[in-house]
Amino acid sequence: MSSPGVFDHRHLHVHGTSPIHRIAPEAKLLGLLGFVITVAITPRQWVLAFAVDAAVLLGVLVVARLTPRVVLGRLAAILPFVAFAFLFPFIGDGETTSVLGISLSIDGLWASWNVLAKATLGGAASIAVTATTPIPELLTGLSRLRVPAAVVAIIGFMFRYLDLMVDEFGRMRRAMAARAYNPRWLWQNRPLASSAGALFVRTYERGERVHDAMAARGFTGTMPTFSEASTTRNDWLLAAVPAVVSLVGFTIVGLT
Amino acid sequence: MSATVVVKDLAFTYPGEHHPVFDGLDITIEAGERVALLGPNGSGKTTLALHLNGLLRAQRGEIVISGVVLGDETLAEIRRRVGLIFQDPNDQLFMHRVRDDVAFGPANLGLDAVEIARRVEQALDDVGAAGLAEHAPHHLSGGEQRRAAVASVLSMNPEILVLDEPTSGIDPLGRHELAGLLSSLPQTQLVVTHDLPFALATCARSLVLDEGKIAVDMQTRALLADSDLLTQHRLALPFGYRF
Repeated sequence: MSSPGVFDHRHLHVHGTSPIHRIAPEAKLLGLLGFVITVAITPRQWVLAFAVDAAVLLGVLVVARLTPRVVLGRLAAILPFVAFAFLFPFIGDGETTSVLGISLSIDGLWASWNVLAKATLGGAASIAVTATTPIPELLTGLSRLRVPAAVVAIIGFMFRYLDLMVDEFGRMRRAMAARAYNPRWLWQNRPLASSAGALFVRTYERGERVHDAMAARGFTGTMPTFSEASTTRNDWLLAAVPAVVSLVGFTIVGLT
Repeated sequence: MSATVVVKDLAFTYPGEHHPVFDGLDITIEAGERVALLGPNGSGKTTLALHLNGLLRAQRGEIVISGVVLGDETLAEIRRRVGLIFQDPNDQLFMHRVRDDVAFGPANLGLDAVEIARRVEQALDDVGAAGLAEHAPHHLSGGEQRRAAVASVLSMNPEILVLDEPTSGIDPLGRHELAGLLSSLPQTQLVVTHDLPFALATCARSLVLDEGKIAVDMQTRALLADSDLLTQHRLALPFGYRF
């Protein structure tokens, strides 16, 4: 079987029975959307509003019993964006300030802060949802939110076959390494690139076989849905808490 | 629960190819029979399997399942009656939970939730995989995946099972368990395989497909004892076997 890796979605879900785990998936998704939108529209100077957001999010993570290790580890995914944002103080113009003798653009600093704060809050909120909801439930949630069935099916297939693709790529790389291919520099990457092409063809063929297997069991184009638990008003209320708190913080800071 | 399979004068050529896979293939399988379909690579075993369920359509001749001729109007009915189990369970089990995969067929038949749940329980029970319902397919062993794949077809109450290389990717004990499972099922079965001991364990009768024709149709035991005949069709018993 496959070895766990960074791309391994099976570890997205952290098993648990916290109140956060038990909220219906579509409520969590909508709650996440609301929270992220509020964070996104908060002007960057409203530091207090961001503090409120961070506090409520921290509360959610604690209730969900997600360890700092899990959350910080996954937050690493935002690093490339944040790293790019750290260029702003050096390339921005306008008024400057001096830190350790280096002249930094004040506007650039605010821009960096803006990206850092919003990416961290948005990232951590997404982690809170994906870590407390198994993939099949997330898919159910999406279809209950009237996301087109084809889109839900595509997302489902992506997660189902991602591991297999990563495995397959791993095997190809091992087969190359076994024949003394040990790329160290970018210009040695040609075989790796062509194996990506081969991987595409294999994946395409698998797609055809999967479709055959579906057609053989009477599939004619509509994915059946298997929803079990029903959603209560409590789910919606609980899931809305972070977004509402964030919005209240936003309003108070905006009015003062 | 079981049905007859008749293939009459089947002809098929893949698009863009000159050489036909079949040109006048005839097969008759009685209700409740378990028949092994043997033959070298490229002899058309899988192509035949895909025809039986209407995934490939005959260019000449016809497929008749218990008197029902496969055609556009009968396609849905034939797909319910003929359960096809693919070589790679990862192609067959495409959901995130075994339960959902087993429920996929019955849901396509338009059954209600209560009946679907009943069928899922029954099918998983029949293959001895009741405990796997909530598992993700890619976490299972080869043998478990195979049983789940069989269950995903059994839940449609098929009358015929067509299994393509069912022993590939499973360990020796898994093979034994699978042989026991197939022997316990009442359906008519066509087992496409290279695995001659497995064919002997599950099927009294064997067909050898070679060059698009049924070259041999005899008792599996007699076929396996005839090493000249086996060699003639690029078949061979594993080392250490002799009948």
